Amino acid sequence: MSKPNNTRENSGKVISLKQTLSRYKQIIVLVVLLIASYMITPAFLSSKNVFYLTRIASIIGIATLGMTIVILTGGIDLSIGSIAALSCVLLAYFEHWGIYLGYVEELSFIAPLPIIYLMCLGVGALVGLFYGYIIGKWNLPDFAVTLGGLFALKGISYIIPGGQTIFGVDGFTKFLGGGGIGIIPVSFLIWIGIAVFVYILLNYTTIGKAVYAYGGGRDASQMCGISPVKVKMFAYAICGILAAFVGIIYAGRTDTGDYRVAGTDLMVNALMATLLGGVNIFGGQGSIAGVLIGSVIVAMIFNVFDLTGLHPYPRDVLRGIALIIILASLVKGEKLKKA
Amino acid sequence: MKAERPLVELKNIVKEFYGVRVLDNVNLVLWPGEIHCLVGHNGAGKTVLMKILSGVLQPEAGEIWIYGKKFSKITPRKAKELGIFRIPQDPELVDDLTVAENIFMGDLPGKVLFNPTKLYNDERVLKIIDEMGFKLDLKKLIRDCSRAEKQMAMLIRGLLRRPRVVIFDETTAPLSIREQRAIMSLIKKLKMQGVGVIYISHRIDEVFNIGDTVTVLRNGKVVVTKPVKDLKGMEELVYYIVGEEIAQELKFSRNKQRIDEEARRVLLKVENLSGDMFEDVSLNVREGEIVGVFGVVGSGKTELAETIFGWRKPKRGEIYLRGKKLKINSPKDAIKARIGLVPEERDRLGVIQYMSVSDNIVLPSIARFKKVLRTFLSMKEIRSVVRSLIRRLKIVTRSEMEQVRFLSGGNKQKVVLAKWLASNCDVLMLDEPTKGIDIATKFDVYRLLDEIAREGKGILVFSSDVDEILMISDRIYCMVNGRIVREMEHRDANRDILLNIALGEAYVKA
Repeated sequence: MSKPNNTRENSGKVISLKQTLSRYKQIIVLVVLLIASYMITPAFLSSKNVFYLTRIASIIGIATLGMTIVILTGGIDLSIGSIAALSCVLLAYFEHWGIYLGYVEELSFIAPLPIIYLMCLGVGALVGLFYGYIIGKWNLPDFAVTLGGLFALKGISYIIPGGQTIFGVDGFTKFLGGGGIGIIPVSFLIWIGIAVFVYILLNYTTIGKAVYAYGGGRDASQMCGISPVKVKMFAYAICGILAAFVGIIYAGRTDTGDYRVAGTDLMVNALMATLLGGVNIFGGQGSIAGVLIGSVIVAMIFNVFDLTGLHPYPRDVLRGIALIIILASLVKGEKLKKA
Repeated sequence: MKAERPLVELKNIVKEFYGVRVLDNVNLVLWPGEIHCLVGHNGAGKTVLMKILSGVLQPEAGEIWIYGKKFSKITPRKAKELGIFRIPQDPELVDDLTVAENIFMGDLPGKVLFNPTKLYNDERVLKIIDEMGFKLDLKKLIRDCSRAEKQMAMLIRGLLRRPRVVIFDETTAPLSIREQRAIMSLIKKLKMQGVGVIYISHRIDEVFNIGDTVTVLRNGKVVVTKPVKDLKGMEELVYYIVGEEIAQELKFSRNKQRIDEEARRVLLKVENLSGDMFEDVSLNVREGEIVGVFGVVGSGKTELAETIFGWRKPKRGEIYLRGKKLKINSPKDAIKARIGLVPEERDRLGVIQYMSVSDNIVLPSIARFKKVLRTFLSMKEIRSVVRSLIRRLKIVTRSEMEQVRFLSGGNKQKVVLAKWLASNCDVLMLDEPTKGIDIATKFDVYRLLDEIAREGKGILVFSSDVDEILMISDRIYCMVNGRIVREMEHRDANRDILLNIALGEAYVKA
């Protein structure tokens, strides 16, 4: 009711400064943060640090892309840390097949490397498909199912290597996780590639449109013939695959298969990046460009305080305060509406 | 009747949203004991004006005089103190509390804290309910209430505070005829007590029934303010509402099909269908035919429509399309069989508010746009289909990428219609297709239905608006208490017959 009917001619062009600011607020916050970080410590913009920063951002960012799809459907995946841990452990385990789990002269592959990768990613996909099926079919609360997954998968990734950390993975994985082309980390390039892929998936395919539709209006979308089971299975499967990929990158970066990756850090960071990126936590609204910036902001908050040389605990205090300020400046005034 | 001082005087009120002027120097005077009707299109600014009077919105310019005192702006709290009470279109109530708890929210009588049962036996509330003559269970949770019951709860909440100005914002739209009558008599009672009433409605007959004065808004400007008795019939009022040019277009007549044209094939046939709220329903729709299902609110027609569409599960019965038996378990199956439904609850079931006009329109038929490598959607094709539909249905929107939530009710409804035109369905069902829609759009919808029917599609209209049913249907089914009690051709039907069937039997049962 608040809009007049016949103002087609003038309403299109009148865009106030306020609107312009709010449209680009993520970018504005990012620029302000860049300047602030540089002022806190000039080392922030050294080429070495930019390399680290983009590497952190890409790890958070890949997981965030998956989380974004799930949140767009109005769900949440609390277990991405555990999926990543499982895939990380599996990769190393498959490369130490039947041999000692510490550093060895020569690795023993269970199958060619591409197959091992497919198996790791496939486990992530299977977990996601399972979540999606039971959530969509029986209308279960997303957080309950994935919270269960968080613990169960953590347990499995501990059991598989018998509680041991597996040392040493293959060179290609190390290149993916830690390598760089010039000053650009390989994982960063992969992140951007995946982002383009997810963008196309969400905007140029029927299932992508269904994701937005289901998140934006459960009942209305079903009235258009959209199946909740399909939407949920798709979203959680992609999220699972991306989380598993993060696990592979972890393995490469640390040169280990470590079940302790399974903490909640990855999930919390991805969730933070999703929110900072302007995705509506209730689903239906959000863009890939937004969450890319969101991931960078989260990475910066972590990185810049590490450079200050402060003791870890005061560092965490500052981090928390910065996060509240940034999140408040981005989310304030925005009406989050449940569909 | 006129006291010396008006209750409310709004002078030169201006309100802008994002640089667009939605109210332009609006004046309005309300006297004690006056029923002042406010009419106009969707988006004419009625609700905005009333939100300003009740303190929800602040005007950019203008003066608000209340009881002879000037205010440059009012807050919701101030409005409450002044005794100004607005019953909004969508009642703002707490789902998980009972009716009584909602009624007393904000000022629970002290004694209730120690004896909560008092809440449900409050004499003033029981008296109001009794006077209005409808049933309302005070212990029911708002979550389980119908829209009518919510409106009632909201109304009682306001009346308890002894208001001096009451604003009804389309209160009667979701109510049954009986409940509407109760509200009307209540308004007359308020008038006797010297309360000023501002009454917003799309229904022109209501203006003539109860109004003392009418103010017409069009595009944020007052077109006219006039005593109702000085109006020369409905045509004059319609003329003010829609403006000269459009008034010419408000004629609709359809060459009614006749049932005995056996040559036309039966498209949709429903046999002995039973479900929630309806029993043993059989009906059919032929090619090129508009069939009306007439029944009051609560007669089971919404449930019937939603069951045919697969949104609800049937208990038993069969549905045939072109003689072939259909198995419909979900809307998906119905859409596959080329059946479409324009639901009554437009905002919840009809559109996805946060998606664009374009996305909303193509959703049910999206698979056919998989053109690029047979996988990806062809944006070019989507754009051309959507744009031509926007033009054909005259949907007012800044662009096809605008989110649907910014559209007015009538334009949202056109988006829902466009959705089924895009998917080219054979049978189109519409449940209360023009509820809460302004008069010009209403006729747009009728003309469109006529056009679609002439293409050979079957249309099934479920409505409680007797004039609508008579205007567009070739054949009419009357539904009472979940059963189809009569089928008749258009030429055998008139207002009195239909109302007698629908209300008569409803009264007997109640």
